[in-house]
Amino acid sequence: MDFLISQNYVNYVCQCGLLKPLTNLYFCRHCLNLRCSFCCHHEVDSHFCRNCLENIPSSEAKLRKNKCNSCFDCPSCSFSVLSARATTIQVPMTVKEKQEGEESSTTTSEASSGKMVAKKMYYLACLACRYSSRDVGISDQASQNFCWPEQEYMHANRFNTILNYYQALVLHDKQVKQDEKRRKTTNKSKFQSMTDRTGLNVSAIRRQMGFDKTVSKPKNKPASILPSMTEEVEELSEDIFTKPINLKNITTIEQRFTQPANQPESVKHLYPQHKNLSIKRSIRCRHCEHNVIKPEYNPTSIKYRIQQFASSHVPEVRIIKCYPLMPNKSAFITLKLTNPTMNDMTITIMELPTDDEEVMMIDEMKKNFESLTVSSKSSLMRPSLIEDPRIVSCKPTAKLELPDSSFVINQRDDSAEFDDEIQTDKKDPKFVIWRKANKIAIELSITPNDLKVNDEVIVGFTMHYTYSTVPSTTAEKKDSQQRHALNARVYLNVGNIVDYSTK
Amino acid sequence: MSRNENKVKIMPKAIVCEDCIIQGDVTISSGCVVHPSAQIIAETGPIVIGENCIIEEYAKIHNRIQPESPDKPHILTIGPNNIFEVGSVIEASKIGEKNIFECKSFVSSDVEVSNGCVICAGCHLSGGQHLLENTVIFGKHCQQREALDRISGSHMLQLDFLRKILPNYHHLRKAKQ
Amino acid sequence: MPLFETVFQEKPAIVMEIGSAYTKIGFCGEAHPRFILPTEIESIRDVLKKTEKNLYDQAVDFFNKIFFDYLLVSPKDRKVSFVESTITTPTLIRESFAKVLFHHFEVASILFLPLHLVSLSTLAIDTALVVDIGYKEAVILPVFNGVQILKAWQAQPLGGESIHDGIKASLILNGVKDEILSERVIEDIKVRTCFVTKQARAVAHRNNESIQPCPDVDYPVDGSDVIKIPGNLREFALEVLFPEDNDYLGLPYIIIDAIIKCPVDSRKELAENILLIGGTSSMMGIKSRLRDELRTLIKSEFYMDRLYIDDVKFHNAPSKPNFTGWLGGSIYSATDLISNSITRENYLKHPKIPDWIFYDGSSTRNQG
Repeated sequence: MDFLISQNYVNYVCQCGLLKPLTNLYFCRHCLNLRCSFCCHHEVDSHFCRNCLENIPSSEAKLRKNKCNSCFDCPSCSFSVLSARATTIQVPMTVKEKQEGEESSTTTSEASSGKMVAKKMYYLACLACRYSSRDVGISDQASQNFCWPEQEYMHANRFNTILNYYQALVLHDKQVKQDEKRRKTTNKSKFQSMTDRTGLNVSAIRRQMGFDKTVSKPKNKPASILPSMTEEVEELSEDIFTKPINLKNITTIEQRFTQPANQPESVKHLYPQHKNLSIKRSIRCRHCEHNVIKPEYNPTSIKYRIQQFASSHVPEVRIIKCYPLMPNKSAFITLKLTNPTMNDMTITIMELPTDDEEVMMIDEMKKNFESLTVSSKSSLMRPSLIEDPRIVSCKPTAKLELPDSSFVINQRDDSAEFDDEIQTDKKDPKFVIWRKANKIAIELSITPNDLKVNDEVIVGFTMHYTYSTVPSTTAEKKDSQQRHALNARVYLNVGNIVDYSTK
Repeated sequence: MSRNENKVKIMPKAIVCEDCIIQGDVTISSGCVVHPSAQIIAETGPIVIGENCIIEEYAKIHNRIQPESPDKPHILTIGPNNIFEVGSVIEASKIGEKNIFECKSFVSSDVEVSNGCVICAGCHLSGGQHLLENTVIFGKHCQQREALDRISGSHMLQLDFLRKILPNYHHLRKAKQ
Repeated sequence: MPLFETVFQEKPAIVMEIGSAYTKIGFCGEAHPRFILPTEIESIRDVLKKTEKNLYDQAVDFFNKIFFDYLLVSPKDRKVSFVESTITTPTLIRESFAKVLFHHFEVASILFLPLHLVSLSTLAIDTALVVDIGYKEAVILPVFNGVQILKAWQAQPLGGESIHDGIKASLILNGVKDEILSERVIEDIKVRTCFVTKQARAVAHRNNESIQPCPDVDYPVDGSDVIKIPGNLREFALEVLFPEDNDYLGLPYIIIDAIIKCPVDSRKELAENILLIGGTSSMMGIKSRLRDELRTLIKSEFYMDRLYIDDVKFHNAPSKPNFTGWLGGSIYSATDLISNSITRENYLKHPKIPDWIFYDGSSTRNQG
């Protein structure tokens, strides 16, 4: 079955010009057009931990640096989550516990100093690669949810000092410039100085004009960040020439990069890493700013609040069968069309647009979009940009004989699902083979071009279908339904040319 | 099969389900648990399985190392306390004790496994190598690491449980020597 | 207007350094990148290489991954800082990245930061000889008083890639099958077994003197094979960075060349402020080897009377060498300087990224 699903034999053209199967497309109800993940705008909707399924508000997620507090990734194999495991150890009763124990059980005052108490201790272990927090010398913790010791970053202090210094420096520079402006002193130099203390803008000019030495330095650098140049560099230890190395103790580069700060070289320093959060994303149409996908907040729910999948709006085309294909010889293909909507659809199968027409379509779409953004004078919202529409990369390699009339597919009716009867309507045109509930099978004739054996045969057509907008609120009457005539371009990969010489 | 059937030696206190496939000269020591549908095939030489091993469903232990001379077949000795999980295929030349072969793992005939090793799920190990003690093979690229701290103890619990449960639902082979 | 406004802005800027092998990503004002991940843009290593997807689509996919799988932020209206090797980044790539970020992701602004210059900020100094040894190449650029001395710029294809090629070639010579030596395996061999040897041993090796080789390593490849990494390969694989031939284009030579192209007054200071950055400079022993090599060169007859420097000194940045450049970007982006970046509005008016030649975006339009 896998080959039926994983390969895309039937592709629809998204409005941006990309070919995608219907299941990967969205349908914007407001623009009445197909959209795909490439031409839509993605947004982070909510953060959650995919291990403990905790919903974390975005402000908190930011504070936690997008890490989960309670879940840890294995630093060794990095694809599994560490689980807390319990052990019991015997510990001597502490004084405090002893007192409590004496208070609670005043009758049994046998609590001698040597009494041992069983205590549950926890450590983290990876069930896949058998990594455990004991390996790196983290002592067992008394509580499962107890904060495990956080790894410290050795350069953190030095970095903060430097950061503060630079922020002050830039600020000072700015202030000096503002002061000068206020005083309206003429610039001593004839040339406009494009330098500043940071050297950033300096990079822009090709020749240095030198610093204006009159500008005072803000303050002396803190001593702690004074340059650390040194003649002493880490020498290679002599051991490396004589002692064999144990590969198991040296981390791989993936393991190092799971801890970007410290990048440990020895497995002894692989500390448990907080698990990264995941997000639910909402997808927005760039043309009308409406959502096509909006998930529910609750991480355990896989439902959507808004879902505009194309497969529930656009008739689906499937290939039922195709006769052996030979170059320049007509063959029949049988297609099944399904109407996913609650209204009848009238479908006409037409030619694909020619290249010139396609270019015109793209131009028109761009114009429409520009006029749309100009007309909506919401200056607060910056205009969204659209992806440049592309010309469809796929070219049909066979001619399709178009059916001479249009046909109707009945609405979807859940109760009709169980009817086994195949209806044939006398009024139907000849190419309709059968119809059943909201499905219809049609037979079309195709003639592959002059192709070689095993070349792919691709046919395409424009499917013109009627679409009725469903009233968005129940208050609206059924009369308010609007009917639209829409187009979808469909490309079918019907198979390869067979080698007829052997037959 | 029937000819070889006679050579199967099952020590007392071993639990061997009847639906498993055991061919050739196989010795199963006491305390072992062999699940239904497990395969132990001594093709080119005998297999000796140590005490308290668990051989789960669809696990396949196969001795097919061509002996240097026909009189001296290669004996695949498996130490005590090993676990062969579901679907593992083991053709190793020698196996020590307390090893775990996880689901769908594969060990080829030129590998020697010492003690306390873990071959993680889905890892395919081949190429002449000798696994040192406490080696863990894990991940897509069969990375190696050394386990310093073994999670142990569950093995005996599992054995006790299986010894209690399996006889209730399966016909067992009789011990014979 | 409060001056700290941008410093304490709601959304911290995203800082990226997209290297030809690894990409460093994180937020400004943080002491280390959040993630270091392999760069998944095929074309970045070779712009002209024909790939199935064009650079734009590859970049969209990669940035999608960065924003939604790793950093978990909506890129819309974010500020983005790029740390890039200004001179060696192809214009096509930076233009494509700008287009992707402005068009597809609608970021608020992009700030391009020159890698060599910003690396200095991690030490709070303004003069240094920055040696960036990356995957594709080694790029050396002296910075004096905050000014990059472009004249003295040096670059050679000495980096991870040439090391990998060397390791692969010599393993194949030893009879290892080509198929199992994937880029990942080679890199792993380099990272875990190889090191830069001492000068004396390297010289001895070059002169075919017999030295006691360091121990061999049995390296298991993907569970399917065990290959022997000879001690000689471990020790001398990185010698490709120090070739001794008549071209004199080894790493120490081009460092000296960079110094010699600088004004005499600045040389001493530059030589005493050498900063090694880039992934390949994390290799064990490379710093001490470079120091020894440089000292020998300084005292060599050829350079003795031209160089006028006595010694070389190195800096230790508060970071791992492979993200020193990123860290500089993090510092710069956390200051008010981020307001100097190219905004979306300006980009839409003049879709051109200023660079060394056109530093003013507005001027480019008039010239067509």
